[in-house]
Amino acid sequence: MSSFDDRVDLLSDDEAKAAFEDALRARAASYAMLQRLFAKELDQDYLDQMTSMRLKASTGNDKVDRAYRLLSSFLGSRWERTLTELAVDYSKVFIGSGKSAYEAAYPFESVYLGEERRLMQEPRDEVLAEYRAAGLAKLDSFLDCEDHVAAEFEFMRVLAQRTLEGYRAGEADRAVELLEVQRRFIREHLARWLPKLSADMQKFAQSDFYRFLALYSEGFLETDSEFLDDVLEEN
Amino acid sequence: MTDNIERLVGAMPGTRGLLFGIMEFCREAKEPAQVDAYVTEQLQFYTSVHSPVEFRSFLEKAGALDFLPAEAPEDGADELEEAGTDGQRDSDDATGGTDAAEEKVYATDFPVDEDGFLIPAPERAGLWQTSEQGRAYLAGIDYQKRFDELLSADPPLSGIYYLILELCSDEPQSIDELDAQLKAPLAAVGSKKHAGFFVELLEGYDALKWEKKWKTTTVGRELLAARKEE
Repeated sequence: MSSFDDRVDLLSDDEAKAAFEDALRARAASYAMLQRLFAKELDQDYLDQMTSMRLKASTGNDKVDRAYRLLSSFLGSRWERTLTELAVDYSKVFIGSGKSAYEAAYPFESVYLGEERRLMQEPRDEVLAEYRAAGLAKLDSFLDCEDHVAAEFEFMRVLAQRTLEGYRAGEADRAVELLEVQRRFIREHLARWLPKLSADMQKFAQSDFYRFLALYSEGFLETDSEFLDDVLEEN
Repeated sequence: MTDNIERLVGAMPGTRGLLFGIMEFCREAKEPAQVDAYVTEQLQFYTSVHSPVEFRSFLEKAGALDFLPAEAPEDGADELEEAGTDGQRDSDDATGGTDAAEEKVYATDFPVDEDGFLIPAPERAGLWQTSEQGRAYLAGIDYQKRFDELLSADPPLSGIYYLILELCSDEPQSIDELDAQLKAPLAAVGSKKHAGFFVELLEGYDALKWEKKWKTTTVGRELLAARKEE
């Protein structure tokens, strides 16, 4: 019997099962938010949604705590040009002017783990293989490469959602397999380059919003890794 | 050390005048709302997407502005005071900020509700004042020396620079108005340059500012006065 099955057995209490299901739902939602925030500039609708979020002061992860304080501060100082301000900062942080490979936090795994900070290197082929193995393909509407951080977070979101659905359906083995894939993907991809991307984002960002995103993405990945290790009982 | 202020000003050339203006405005401690009102009014003359709060934040992180808490919290009051007044927030990156400094601030001044969630809009109560570093930075700028260097680059055009300062001192001028008035003087020194060339340089040297039209600054008036004394 897998460790996940054990976990399910341990969670025979309805309340505990509901809490575990909440945790699975929350991590899927977090990956969805990360995908959205990295994919494109903020719009009014999403800004309004973020404004209504409740941010825990103490989460147990220092980076997430600092990120939430930055976000709280940022949301508290919104003004009429906030969206323009953020669009400019998004461009500064992720796009730059293209003069060199070191003047922005280019959000591609190939840039950070490939040769000479270039696009379309081996890491892109590796994540593409992972997507295909999961039966996924990039939408034509998403114009960036497969190893864009938003694509990698979307991959995690899809798998997290499948895990949630599997758990709800009582398919424990399927859920374990999916969690194992997610843990491996974090270890082999996201955890190897996201901290570097986060450091660059903090270097180039002028708004607290993108400093929040840098710290939050790094902190959340740490907590999710711990969650996966805990659930799969492999620390 | 004023390196971070220099770096910030260098990184934001389009709002150099505004950054200096905020530092001058805050020589006497001001309420956050007063600073924001000043910046909001000035923003009509600058092309910037940054909010008044962001400008405060940039200057604070660069060490040019101090935040003086109205009432220091009991726990960690000394730390907050220290972070706000002696330049502890200096950073290698003018728009960055050290983790240690950020933690000091965040550890004490973010309100939390009874359920442990952050309460949004945590405007700190207190005053903003130009720091010692900010004052030292402003005092260290030798406007006359910088201007002399500009003039020495092309001595035949010296008179044109002064003429523009004179014209914009009497009454703010549009670029078209300046072009019309500079036509003959420029022809006299054999220059084919237009007013825009001079105006851009004079603005960068803090002698002119744009307020819907070009206007001579206090620095520009002092440069003019110094020349008349010669």
